[in-house]
Amino acid sequence: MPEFQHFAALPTLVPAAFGLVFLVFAPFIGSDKKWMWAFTTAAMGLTILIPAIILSKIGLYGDVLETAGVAGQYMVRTDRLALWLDILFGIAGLLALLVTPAYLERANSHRPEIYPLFLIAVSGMTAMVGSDHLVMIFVGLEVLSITLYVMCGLARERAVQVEAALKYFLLGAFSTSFLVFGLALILGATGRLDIPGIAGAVLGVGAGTLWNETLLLAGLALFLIAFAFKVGAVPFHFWVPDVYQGAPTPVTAFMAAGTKAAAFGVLLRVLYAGFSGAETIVDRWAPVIAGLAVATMVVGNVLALVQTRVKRLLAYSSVAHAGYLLLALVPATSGAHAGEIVGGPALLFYLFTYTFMTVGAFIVAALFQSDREDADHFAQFAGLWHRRPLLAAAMGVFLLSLTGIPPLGGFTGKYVIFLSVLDAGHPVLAAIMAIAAVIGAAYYLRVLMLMFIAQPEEDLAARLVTPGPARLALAVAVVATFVLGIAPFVLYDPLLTVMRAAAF
Amino acid sequence: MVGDPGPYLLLAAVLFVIGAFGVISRRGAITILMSIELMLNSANLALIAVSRFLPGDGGAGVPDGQVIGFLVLAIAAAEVAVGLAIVIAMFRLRESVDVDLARLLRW
Repeated sequence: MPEFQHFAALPTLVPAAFGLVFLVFAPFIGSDKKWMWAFTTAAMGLTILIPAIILSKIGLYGDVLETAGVAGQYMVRTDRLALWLDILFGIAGLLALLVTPAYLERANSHRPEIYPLFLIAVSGMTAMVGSDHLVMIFVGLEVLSITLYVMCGLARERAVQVEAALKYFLLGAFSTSFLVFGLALILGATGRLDIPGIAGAVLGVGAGTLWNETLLLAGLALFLIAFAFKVGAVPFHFWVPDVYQGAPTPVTAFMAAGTKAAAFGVLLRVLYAGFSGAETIVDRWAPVIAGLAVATMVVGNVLALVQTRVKRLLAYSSVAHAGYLLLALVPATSGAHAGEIVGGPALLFYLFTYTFMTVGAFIVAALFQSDREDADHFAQFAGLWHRRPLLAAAMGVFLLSLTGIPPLGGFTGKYVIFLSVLDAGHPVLAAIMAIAAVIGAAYYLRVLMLMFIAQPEEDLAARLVTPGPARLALAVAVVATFVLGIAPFVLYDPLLTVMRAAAF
Repeated sequence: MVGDPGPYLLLAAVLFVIGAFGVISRRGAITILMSIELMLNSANLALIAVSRFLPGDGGAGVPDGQVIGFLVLAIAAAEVAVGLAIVIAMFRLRESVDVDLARLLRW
């Protein structure tokens, strides 16, 4: 057993510690004080910095840091996959934090508790992806989910937010019970819950009994149902639009990018490292993932066509993007450890581009917040170009990127997934992805036309304010979207090594 | 396997399905919460059963499942604490915990 390395757990410990300390102090400060926000933003910056530093040194430790052994089992596994995703969570949290004060100001709900909750949610995400034990993944997921239920319903007097929190909570807890039951069955089938142990049992499945295999597949099915809920895959997507619309917009942005990245990080690691050892097992679950991906891409994009609210439209767009990401899982995990070449890096690259463009779009939607109930209705966006050209241009960049127009990040992201799916020998799936993306173009272009061609109906833009931090967040998101589109290699080449130590 | 956990798993599966049916068919938020608790506890029963019957430690099973059972209990308690707070906030606004009344968010 290698020596105990505390700093392997730093990406989780730092946001958790800061979040808890700040949360204790939150009730004692006036709601108008800005320093709670400033401290949280600084701590969030630190939670980006720490995984980045460990990442630059990780080659010295054989690409992986493991610690917190319980009964001879490791529970924390900090490798390149985990560290890249930790950076992504920090970025999503930081961008959302930058716009939160402006949002709370306009929504007239001052709740300083919301800032530390971002940090605690990030610690849950990092715990999920930085582990090779299913129990640790479960605990991380619950830290993340329970924090998000609270963040959704923090403004207790607003019926929409309470309703969103209630729906999110009931369906989240429902899906949690599927996860726990799945864990029980996997434990019964393999006797282990650490991913290397599961991988060993899967490799020996030909020699094992059929009774065991049935139990294993049932457990995996329940596990996949739970995570399909979390990423909002069709047919488990029905909570997504309601919760994304009802939740405070910065929380929605954080949720859309962060939760999705954490869940896909777990799916990638568990399926790739745990369940891809035996062909007979892969043949059972790979078609399920492909089927979920196709249903999610098509249904998400078609339902988005009929929306009349920007937040709801972005929610359905987020469902569709969960489909593209699920599709990237097929080559990443089912190629019997060939994912090192194509799938894994493509999935992670798209998660990064998706984070910048979708958080950016939600930030613009957050700036439209007012006391009016229809603040994110399409009519509010009409003629934005004539009133606020810069804001309209930023939103235009995000929407074009979500559509997949070159030279923006959304295009290169979709392109690498498309290529990896083709490489893995699934031309039909790749074709369906292209068709779904074309359907998707229709609704993004509808909003674009409205913003750039239509005349403003009322002088709404005069009431719009974009404070400095929000401008900074938008600028970062726009620049990143362009950079990932024009020079994708700056991120894609480092990501190529990401799967190296993800298997055992 | 030492012995057969089959009957226990069957009981756990039946309880799980009853809970899932409750979540889908009931309208009261509290009843739905109770059904979710039933599902989580059925999962706990399955965890403890497989843990007892797994080979290892001279036929006494492996302790993993029982330890995880405690973790699940603690996490479920935290979840319910937040859930009841949300239900109370809902009740203050609506004078009811009927989830069918929560229909502000519709397309």
